[in-house]
Amino acid sequence: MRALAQLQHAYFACYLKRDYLSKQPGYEKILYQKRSLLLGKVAHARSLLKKNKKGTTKWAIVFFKIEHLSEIIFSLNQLRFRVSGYAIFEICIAEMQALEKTSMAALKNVAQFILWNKRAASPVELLDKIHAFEAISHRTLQIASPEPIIFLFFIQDLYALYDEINELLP
Amino acid sequence: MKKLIKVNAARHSIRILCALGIALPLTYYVSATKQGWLPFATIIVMFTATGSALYQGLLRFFLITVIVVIGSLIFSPTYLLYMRMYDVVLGALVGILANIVILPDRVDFECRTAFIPILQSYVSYFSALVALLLQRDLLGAEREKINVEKKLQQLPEWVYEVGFDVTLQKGYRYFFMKVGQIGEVLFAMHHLARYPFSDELLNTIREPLLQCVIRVEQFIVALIRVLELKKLTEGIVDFGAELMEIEEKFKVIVPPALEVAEVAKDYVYLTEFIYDLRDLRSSLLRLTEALR
Repeated sequence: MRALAQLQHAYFACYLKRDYLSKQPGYEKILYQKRSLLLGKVAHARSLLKKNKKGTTKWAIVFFKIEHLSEIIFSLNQLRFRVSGYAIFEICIAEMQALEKTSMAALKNVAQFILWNKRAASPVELLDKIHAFEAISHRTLQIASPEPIIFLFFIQDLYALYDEINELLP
Repeated sequence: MKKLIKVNAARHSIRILCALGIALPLTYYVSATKQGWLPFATIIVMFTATGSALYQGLLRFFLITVIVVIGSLIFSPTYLLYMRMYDVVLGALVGILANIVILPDRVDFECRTAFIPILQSYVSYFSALVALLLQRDLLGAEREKINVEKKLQQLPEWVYEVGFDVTLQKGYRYFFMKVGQIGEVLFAMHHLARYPFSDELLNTIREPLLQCVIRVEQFIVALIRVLELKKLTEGIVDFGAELMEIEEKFKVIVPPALEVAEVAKDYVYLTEFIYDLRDLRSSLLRLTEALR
């Protein structure tokens, strides 16, 4: 989960930093490293599950959900390939920053819950920020963007992220 | 032996051994201090990433120089500094030259052989994803995903190293990025393919989608042939026509103004899946352009 949170942070840097397009190889190198870290952790968790077959049903379900969560994050961040100019992100930079902050917090909450079984707060804040992004998307992005549909996909994936996180928390 | 020489790690080891073979007699006959600074510098400047022998070798040489200068000024008489520096310069010269001249890194070969397995795994993963979408074959997709995950971690990361051959770095990094992007597109499609779409919806795109699987396979096989430096028997077949057919068939059933209407999740997810398919095609086309 921590590796996933790190990857999410690296992805959002592409939207929030203006020099992404001019320094793309540098950002992509970091993304590759974070992605490899995540994939390495996933492989390790999978091998642990295979080794300890007794009483792993609960962990197998958690692992399955985390795998799905990672796929959602990959789907969510297809946006960086679909938007060709930075100007569009400037319109919604505050909403993007809020989304990054709340999604990272939600992912860290899940990590804490898995590790310590500590009761975690429901990711309502994330849902609020998704609503805020949806509002600006309807107001501005759908008009300003040459391909408005990509923001619809982004919002759908955000909801999927929220649902999956919510399922992982008690 | 011939096969061994093709492996980059083996070539690097042979280079280091040869350089040591030169450095050790030099230490005996030419070295000023005979304290082992010469072979030490030789080895240190040779631990470079693939394709960055000169730049990283020089960088390591400067690092040793700084350490030797500071260490000698603090702990020993000044005349020893000159003698040590003489050894370090000679050692670094031997190391850097050996790294460049003796069995040099075959960057192109290494890259090509590193990209082929991942492209092969993409073919099976994509067909497994379509099987997951159309026939709910969860296990097949999981199996192929594990394979792709493993291969994605073995990409030649050294193309991003500082000092990687300037003439090659732009093209190689671009290729690397696009190969990674295809992996991410496929993972994104995996998330969408998990969704239980209605058969009625899937039936509208079933035929052209299955055609797409064949086309993607042909496309990637052709790319692999180019990477293997083999001649293409036919040109590369694009799957643009199949994609257009999917889009047209889907347009008939999808509600108008998808982006503003409160439409069902099925439609949005399937539209996104088709959009991902379009992204996959565009990335594959870019890879082809990069190979020209």
